[in-house]
Amino acid sequence: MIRLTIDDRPVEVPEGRTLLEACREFGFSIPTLCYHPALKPYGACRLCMVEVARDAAAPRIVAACVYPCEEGISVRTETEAVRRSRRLTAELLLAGAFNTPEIQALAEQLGVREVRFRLPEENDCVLCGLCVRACSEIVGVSAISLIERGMAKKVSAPFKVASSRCIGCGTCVLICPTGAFPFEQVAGTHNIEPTPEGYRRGYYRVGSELDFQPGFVQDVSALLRSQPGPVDEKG
Amino acid sequence: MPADEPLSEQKLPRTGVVICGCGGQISAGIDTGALAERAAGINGVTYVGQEDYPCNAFGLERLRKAVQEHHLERVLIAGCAPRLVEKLFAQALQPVQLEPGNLSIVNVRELAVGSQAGGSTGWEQAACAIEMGVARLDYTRTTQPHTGEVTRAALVIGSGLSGLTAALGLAERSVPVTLIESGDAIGRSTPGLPVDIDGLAQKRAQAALSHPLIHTMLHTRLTAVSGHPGHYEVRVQQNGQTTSLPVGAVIVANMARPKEPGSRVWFDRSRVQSQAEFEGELKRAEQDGLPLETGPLVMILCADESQKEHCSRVCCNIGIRQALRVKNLNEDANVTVLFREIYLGSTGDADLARARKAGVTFFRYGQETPPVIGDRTIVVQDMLTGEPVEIPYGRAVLSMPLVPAEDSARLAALFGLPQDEFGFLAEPRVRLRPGRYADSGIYIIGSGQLPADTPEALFQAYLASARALRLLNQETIQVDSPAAEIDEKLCSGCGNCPQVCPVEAIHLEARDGILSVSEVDALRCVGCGNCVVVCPVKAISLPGWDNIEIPAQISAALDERGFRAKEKKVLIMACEWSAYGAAEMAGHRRLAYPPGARILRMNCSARFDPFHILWAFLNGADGVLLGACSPGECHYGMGNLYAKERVEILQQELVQHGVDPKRLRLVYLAVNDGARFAQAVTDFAKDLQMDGFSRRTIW
Repeated sequence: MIRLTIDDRPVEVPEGRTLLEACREFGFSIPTLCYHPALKPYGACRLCMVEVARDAAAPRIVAACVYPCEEGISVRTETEAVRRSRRLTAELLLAGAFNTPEIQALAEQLGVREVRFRLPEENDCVLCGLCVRACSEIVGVSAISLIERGMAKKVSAPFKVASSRCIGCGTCVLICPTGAFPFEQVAGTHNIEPTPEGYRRGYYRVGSELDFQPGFVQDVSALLRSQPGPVDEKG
Repeated sequence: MPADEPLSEQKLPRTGVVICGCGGQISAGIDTGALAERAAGINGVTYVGQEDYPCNAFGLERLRKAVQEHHLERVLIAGCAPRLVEKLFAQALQPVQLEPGNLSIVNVRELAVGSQAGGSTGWEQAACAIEMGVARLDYTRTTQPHTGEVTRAALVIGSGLSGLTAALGLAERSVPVTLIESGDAIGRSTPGLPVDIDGLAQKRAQAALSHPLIHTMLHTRLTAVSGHPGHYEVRVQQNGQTTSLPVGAVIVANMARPKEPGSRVWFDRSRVQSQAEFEGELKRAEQDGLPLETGPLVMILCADESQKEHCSRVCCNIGIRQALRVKNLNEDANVTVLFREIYLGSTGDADLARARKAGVTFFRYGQETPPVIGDRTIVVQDMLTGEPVEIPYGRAVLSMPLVPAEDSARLAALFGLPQDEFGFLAEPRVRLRPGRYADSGIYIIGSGQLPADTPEALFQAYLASARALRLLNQETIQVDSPAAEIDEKLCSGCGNCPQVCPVEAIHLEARDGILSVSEVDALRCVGCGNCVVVCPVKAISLPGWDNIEIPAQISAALDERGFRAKEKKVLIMACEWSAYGAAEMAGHRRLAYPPGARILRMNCSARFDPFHILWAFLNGADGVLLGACSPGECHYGMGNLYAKERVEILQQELVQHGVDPKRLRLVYLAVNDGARFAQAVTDFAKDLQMDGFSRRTIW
């Protein structure tokens, strides 16, 4: 067992628990956004920040969802530094997702009074990555991922076209905390339309991923032929 | 039937109920303490736990302990979306030997707390959800996972470029491949057409012939298929001799063939030819150096009606290249190309530029005004000027569309594959399918599924061999999800179920005497439950969605105690891929709908059994709302269309028995469409309230 204190209360936890789990177990509420119990912790949203102090060292702010419980540490969940950090995070979340009720409620709860930042465009997606992780860890198909970097980062199926790996289960939609998930873009619509005679294809060609030749490869056939494939090895 | 009277005398299983507070999200909305008291009063419930976070590592530990201490045989979690946490709890309960089938999650957070309306707190909905969950668990039974051996061998049908590439791709990863070809040589791409420009198919054919793991069979046809994913017994016939082969995966790469010209219009066939016919003449001229006597040559691309619908991918390239070759033979040749749209793929741009430089004339015509081939001239409505242009011709070459090979229909029947409107084979439900079930191990590539040009054919072949390898590299395949089971003693061999099975998992097997009996291949079954509905003697069961579990839930859902006076009782049978997800979305977005709605999670709309609907009416439902996927989006093929048909028939029956058919309604919903779900329930309840809406008993 590991002994630590949370807000001066001494607690004992088995090895391998995170601070977030311990805090929730002992009734200390910690706001989260990108955390889901069914998924591996990710540490993206930075809302679960808590202060950790060991001995005489200066306290550090850490993300509780990924920080393991350690012997002898003292955890504070409601210091001014913690509150300020969470407030800033919520303010930044509001900068893009200012019309999302979930984010608005969260910001209000954390005491955000004014928003100093604003993205040029409204974007309800806060890049928590829940959908991407649920698709890979719960569903096991990895039909979507986070593409691009920086400001352009977003959730998408590969090459920004409806994914052929997607099984249309909707787990991504259910787990999205802001309701921003672009389900139609990922899953597409009406790929096979049943008719009395059989199946009618929609725009998406079944089995063929080449309709979506990646634009950056000018000549796919040359590329494929230049690969040391089975034929070339034989000469 | 009141919930406290069990259906049979047998002892109820020991059930544990855990009520989640969800860190305040549930406990702030409803009184979870009272909920726990109510749950404790349900027959069979021997343990009730209240947790703030049962999904937390600590909560899961306590749950495991409770299962052991209280000898729980069933566990119900009243929490959030089952889709999200089912796996988490199932894994957590594995160490204490609680089968996943004995675990049930009911969504209280979204379906009860989130949908508060009309002064309702959602408490009744939550209590009802728990009673429904316990009722289901009372009668559920678990099944062992179904496993099957994987035969590490593959069959490739067709030896065009894509078939050869796929065969080599598998053989290079040490999978023995049988390559069957109906013709007399391998490596011949689309008959008569010069699609194999670089000789790539020929090179691959040589490689395949010399590969020790590729067994090539010429003049061979497939005659029968049996077995399950990972292990198919296929029978092939070569020169009248039939051989049986065990294979794990099948790659269908049969070729397309060009359609014959002149099927609808009369042509002077000595002057009007198809690309394939002209190719022969052109080749002879190139090889022997004979002059090519064509006169003014006109090439018409997209020359057949049906090309309005599907592009054959290769003919524009061939036409332009033929035009160039004619120019190469004779610089002064008069060559005109009439085109509608040009598809050049990724390789043909240079040829087009060269053809234009060489002096080939191009005219574009519109879809509505195809060129008219006259006796001496071809008249085309030029799109640029809008004027008709009269082109004298000595020879006209038509690009005819590629149509499916002759054996496509036979292969479709053998493998149970869908065909599209042109007759090409389609891979069933690549994108929308229930997860957790086995990959069929049948892949369709190249021109078997739609004409493909070289890069497409290669890409598809590599992709299919990679997918096949993933299947073949397993030693066994396992399907944990429930599959339909047939009680042999009850089966009358009527043959209803094989007809409605979307995956051909059921077949009739002869048995002693006159009657046959149905058999389910558990590895093929996807668990839609369509067969359970059509079985006239109810010999088929589907664990988890069985004929006893669903009525038990309906009875619990419609229990009088949960409704206020004059409240309309609406039972919503919701397909989990559409309406159930939409209901959860509605709760998540806090969209209110009438409090009298009770939501029953179903696996597929194919499982909406008329007898369940009647059971709901018998139990006092004012209305039954069925939620299914939109047409074309059913995860099991056509479950929603079956549901529609059944609803229409049942509505007629209801009229005959003096019940207003409007009390039964089917709506199509998308999984993310919470707003439409709330609207549909509200509208339905409102229609039920309308005056003149008589509610008569059903008998």
